[in-house]
Amino acid sequence: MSTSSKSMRSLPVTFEKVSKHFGSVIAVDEVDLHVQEGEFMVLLGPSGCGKTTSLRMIAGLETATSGTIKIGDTVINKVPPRARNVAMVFQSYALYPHMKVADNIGYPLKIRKNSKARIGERVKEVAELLRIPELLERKPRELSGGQRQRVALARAIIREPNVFLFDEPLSNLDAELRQEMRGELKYLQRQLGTTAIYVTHDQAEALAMADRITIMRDAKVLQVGSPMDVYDRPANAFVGHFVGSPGMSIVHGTLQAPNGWVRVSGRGFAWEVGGDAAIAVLRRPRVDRPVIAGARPEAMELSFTEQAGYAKTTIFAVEPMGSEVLVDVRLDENTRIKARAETTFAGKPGEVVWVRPKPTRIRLFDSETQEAIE
Amino acid sequence: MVGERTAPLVVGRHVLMLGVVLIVLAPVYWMLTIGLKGEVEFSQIPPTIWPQEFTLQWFEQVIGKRGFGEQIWNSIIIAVIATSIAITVGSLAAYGLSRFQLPYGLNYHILFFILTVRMFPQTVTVVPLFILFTQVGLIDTHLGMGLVHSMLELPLAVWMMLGFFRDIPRDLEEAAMVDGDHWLGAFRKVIIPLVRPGLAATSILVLIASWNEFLFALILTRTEAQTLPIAVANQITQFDILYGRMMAASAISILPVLIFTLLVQRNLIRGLTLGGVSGA
Repeated sequence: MSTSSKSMRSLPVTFEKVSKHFGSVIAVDEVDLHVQEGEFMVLLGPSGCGKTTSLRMIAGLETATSGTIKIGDTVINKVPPRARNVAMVFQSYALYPHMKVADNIGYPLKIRKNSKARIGERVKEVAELLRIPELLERKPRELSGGQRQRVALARAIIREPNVFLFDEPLSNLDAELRQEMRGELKYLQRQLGTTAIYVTHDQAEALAMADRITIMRDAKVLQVGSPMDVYDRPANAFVGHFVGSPGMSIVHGTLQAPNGWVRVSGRGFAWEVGGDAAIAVLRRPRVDRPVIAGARPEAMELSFTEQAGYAKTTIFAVEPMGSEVLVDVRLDENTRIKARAETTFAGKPGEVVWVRPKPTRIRLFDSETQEAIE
Repeated sequence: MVGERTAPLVVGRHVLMLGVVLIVLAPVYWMLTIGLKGEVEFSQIPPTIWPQEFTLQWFEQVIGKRGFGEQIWNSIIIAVIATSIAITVGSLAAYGLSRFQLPYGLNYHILFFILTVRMFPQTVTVVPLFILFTQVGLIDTHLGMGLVHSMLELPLAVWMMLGFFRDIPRDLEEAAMVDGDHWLGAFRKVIIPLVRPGLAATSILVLIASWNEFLFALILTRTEAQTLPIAVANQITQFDILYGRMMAASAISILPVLIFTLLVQRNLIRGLTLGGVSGA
């Protein structure tokens, strides 16, 4: 790609109070977002959260109802898709079925009236980059899912766009191929240095690929941060539960602080809270209020003997994961806790086990607003 | 896996198809043989299956008759005009209706309105059209007949093409537009090539309909634009029904359409069955 790196211009993308309404349905609600140039930004959220609509507004396939969308310094709200110089990879790949692979890849250049020789040269270059030169003479229907994926990527790359848009591009691949493409896509994006905005509902994919993640739900942005940020310090209970496999275990309780010892307690448990969460509680006293406590599986400690500060639970299931074991325990009917344990873990379903989260690894959320207490 | 259990099914299906083919072809066979029989044999009872007295005189008389060549030409010109208009207008309308959501449920209402053209008896429009055509000078012209036939077949064209356009994923046009194309370019370079089987199938149906249309051709043409069905009917004279000539003329008149259909047959079959197939 040495010949092309000079002409490549990567640009930031900015949303200012962008909304999109479909009739009475609000798909995107006053979203502010800044994607830096060269950044790999993942829009993550459950289906219907507005992430795909946001992406389509950047592509120009939907028009924002209000707000401003900028690529670089240019407001693009009224710029047609063809003039935005963004490239999009669709979930369905959207390869042109009647064209050979080479023509599919070369299509964006053909429209821009490049010479035949130039197109042929670039198609070869890009095909080699994606390791598909042997497919150029085939039709899309003769390709496997993974090959189609590569052709779609090639068609996006050949243009040297200012921004890449990915709409769940890996969701139609089988698990193994998906893992492989994740790494490859991220590597490619870094090589090209082009801003990428990537939509997915798969939190593992988001964590693995993103420079930063934007988590959306119900048309709003809940949190923007690096994968580690989002994982370690979720802004609210939903993010805590949604991100991670499995996500945070969520327990409802009451906050107490006798003599400066912060505790969250409820029916059958009284856990000590330490670290940042405890400091936040003491700084602005919120004692005797209902709270939500969240903790990651790896922050859970298990004991077969009764210990102070542990809660008595029943083992519901033991799930071996290969390198470790996930223990699913029940505090009561409705409260399930997932704990990570060594493969030597000897508990059996139905047995009693005592559980507590490491005090420094508890994350507290306000019961009403669901927001993190920090 | 052709199991033993499916064998009787296959045989049964072939017997059924053979029956259907026989029923469909019987009148065609009858037409051809009458065209090749001598005059006495037409009304012989019991009828003869194969001409006893084989003759080509009826075909010779029809082909030799003045005006028959012009009538074939008229039919071709009118069918081409009608098909061109119906396919162009019909597919653009269908594309618009398949891609753009109009307010107030107008998509549905427009489609229904288009269909109403086929709902009232065609005879109703003949007299108004006759008066109109006389006034604007379209009577007995190729253009006039082409317009009438395209009007008659537009609903078919719109509804058929609608199905083909709906089958094409929107992603494809969107990809083309993001790739840098204008919507018209996307339509021309991506959509049209994909609906080509549909265009072929619809064209044939419109062409055949125009080719065979009788009522409007009878009323709205005299000499200049007279079509083949009228030529066939003209073998019924004041004194006589010239069965031999009539059948010969009919046989000749199905030839062009038959040849055209055979030529585009592959497209036609794909087009008529495409609706059920999904994916690229």
